[in-house]
Amino acid sequence: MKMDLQDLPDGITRIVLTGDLDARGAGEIDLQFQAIAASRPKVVVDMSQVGFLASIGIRTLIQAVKANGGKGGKLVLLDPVDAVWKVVTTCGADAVLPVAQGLDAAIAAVA
Amino acid sequence: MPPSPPSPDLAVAPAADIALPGRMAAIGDAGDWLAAWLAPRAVTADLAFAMRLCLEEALANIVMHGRTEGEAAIAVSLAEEQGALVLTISDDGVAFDPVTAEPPQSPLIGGNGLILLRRYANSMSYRREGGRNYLSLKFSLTA
Repeated sequence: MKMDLQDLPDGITRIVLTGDLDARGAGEIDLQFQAIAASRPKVVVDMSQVGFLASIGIRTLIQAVKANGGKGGKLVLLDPVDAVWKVVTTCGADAVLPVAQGLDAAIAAVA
Repeated sequence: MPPSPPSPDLAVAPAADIALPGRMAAIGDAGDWLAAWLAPRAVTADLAFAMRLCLEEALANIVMHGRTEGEAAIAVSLAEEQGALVLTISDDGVAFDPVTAEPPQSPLIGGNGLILLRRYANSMSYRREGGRNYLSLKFSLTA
């Protein structure tokens, strides 16, 4: 799994995840992903290039939200594909994972 | 006359079963194996997604909870029967029946794998035999 960072205006960090957020993918990014989520105040996690999500990936996302929120930050998921978001809602994890459709809405959510 | 070479399809067809060590790194290998097995078959993207998800969740559960010491020995097999694909996962870990186990009340606690197995497989069955767990997951080819 690939993870790219992009600095947006107003101190917003966009993390673009590309690949599958399964046991292998989560293991590849987890440490760096959690560190960034915990150290940046406004984070948009671009999920549009993630084609697969398993429960271990949901755990990775929830931990990032908690780590970010624990430091007073805001984190939102951007544009997950339908199949991936269905996994989230099936588990009820949408209750704790903020999501936005479109970059403008994501930026507004963390501003 | 020399013997005919095997047909290309048979020569490259992945085996319908695989043995895996009970460690996280093996879960990705199992996903690769499943994808190779499904590739020549005309299954929908939704079905391939559901099968991969259930395989991943069943294996993750075994790796994380199957043994108090050491690694479980896992075997996975695939079969086609009566309009369905059947994924059977066996392991020599502690007895655990995902069919009757209580799922968690909150996604924060973990255990989402059980919920996903129940929602993404069309049916599941479990048996304990010879010191091994056998979990069979059936996926309809016509759903």
